[in-house]
Amino acid sequence: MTSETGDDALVLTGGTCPAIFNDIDAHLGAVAPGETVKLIASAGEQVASIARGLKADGHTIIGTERDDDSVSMTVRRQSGSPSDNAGECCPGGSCR
Amino acid sequence: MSKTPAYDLNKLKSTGMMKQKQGDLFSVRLKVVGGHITAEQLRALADAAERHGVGHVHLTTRQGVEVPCVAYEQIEALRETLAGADVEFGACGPRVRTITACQGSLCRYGLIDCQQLARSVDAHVEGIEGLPHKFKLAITGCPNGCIKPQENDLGIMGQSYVERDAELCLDCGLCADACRPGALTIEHGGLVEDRSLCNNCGMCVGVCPVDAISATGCGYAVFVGGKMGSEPRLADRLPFEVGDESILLNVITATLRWYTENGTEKERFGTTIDRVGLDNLIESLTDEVQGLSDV
Ligand code: SF4
Ligand code: SF4
Ligand code: SF4
Repeated sequence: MTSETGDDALVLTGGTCPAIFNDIDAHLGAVAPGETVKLIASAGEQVASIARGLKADGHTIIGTERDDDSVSMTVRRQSGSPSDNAGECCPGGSCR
Repeated sequence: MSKTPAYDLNKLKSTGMMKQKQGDLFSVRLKVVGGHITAEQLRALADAAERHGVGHVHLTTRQGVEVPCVAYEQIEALRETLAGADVEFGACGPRVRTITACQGSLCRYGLIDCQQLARSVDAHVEGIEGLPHKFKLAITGCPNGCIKPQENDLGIMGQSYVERDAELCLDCGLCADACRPGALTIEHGGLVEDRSLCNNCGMCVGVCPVDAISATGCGYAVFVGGKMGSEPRLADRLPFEVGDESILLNVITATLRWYTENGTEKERFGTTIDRVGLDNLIESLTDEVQGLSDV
C-alpha cells in the first residue's frame, strides 16, 4: 500500500506505544512540511490515541478510510518542526 | 524503669498521632494536600525522620506521609522541625482526612485543576468537627478516575460537556474510536450519538480532525458513600451536574451537614446512606444547594 506521495503507508496495527509514536515521528519527518503520509492503525483506542497525538502536534488528518478493524488516515505534516509525541500514550488510566 | 508520661490519646489522635504497638512510640501523620510536597518539605521530612524518628518515612495509601517511631517526648520537637518548611501534622479520627488529588492540571487528559481545587476544598472544610466517623475526599481530573473517587466518602470528578456540529461532521468515526462508553458509534457510515451513555470525558474533542465536536464547558460529577476496608462499598454518583466551584463547595458543606445530622457514632457515610436512603440525601442537597442541574 502506498501513500499519496508515493511513500509506503506506515502500518501501525498491533504495535504498542511508545514505539509507534517514534515510528510516526520518523515517518512524518521523512516528508516535507505540507506533504502527506498514510498511517494505518487498528480501529478503536489505537487510532483514537494516534489521531489525538497528531492533532495535538498540529498535523492535519485530511482523510480517513475504514474497514472492519483498521483505519487508514491521510495526514498532512504541519509546517513547523516534526511532531513531538513524547508522553502520548493510550488514553489515560488504562495502564495506571 | 522509665515512667510512662500521661497523655490524652484521643487528643493526640485528633492531630495526627497514632500510638504504635511498640510502647510509647507514635506514627505521626502529616498534612499533605493532593499528594503535593515541595523539595524543601521533602528535605525537612528527611531531616525530621533522622532526628526525631528512626530514619525513614511511610507513604500511606492515600498520598499521605507518616513519620513512624517517634517517642512521645520528641513530638513537639518534630512539630518544630517541620514547621520551618510549612509542614503541619495531619488529622485522624472523625474528621475530613487527607484530600487526595491527581495531577489534573498537568495530565493531558485532565479537565480540571485538581491541585488548586484540593487546596480550596481543604481550606473550606478546615475546622469542621462533630462528624460521626472519618470522611475521605478525593479529586480526580477526568472520568479515567485514577484517584479512585468511587472508593471515597466523597469523590469529585472533572467533567467536560461537549456538543457536535453535525454540519461540520465528516462521519469519519474517529470520535467513536475514542469514545469508551459507546456514546458515539458509526452505523451504516454515519455517526450516531447516544447522550445517555456519555461520561463527559471530552476524549472526542481531541481527536476530531475538523473540530466538529467542541467542549462547551467543564464541571464536576460528585460521588458519595464510597469506602474500602472490611466492608467495601462503591460510591453512588449524584444525579447532578455541578457547574462551578462555589456550588461544589456548597454541595460538600451540605453533604457533611447531612452526614452529621443523620449518621450515628462510628458509622461510615456509605452505611448512613444505605440506612437512611440515597434519595433522602439527594432531596436534602436539592433543597439546600442553589444552582444544581440534573444530569
Ligand atoms: S484521572 Fe484523568 S486527569 Fe487525573 S491522572 Fe488520571 S487520566 Fe490524568
Ligand atoms: S465526552 Fe467522552 S463519553 Fe462523551 S461522547 Fe465524547 S468521548 Fe464519548
Ligand atoms: S471525529 Fe469529528 S468529523 Fe469525525 S465523525 Fe466525529 S465529529 Fe464527525
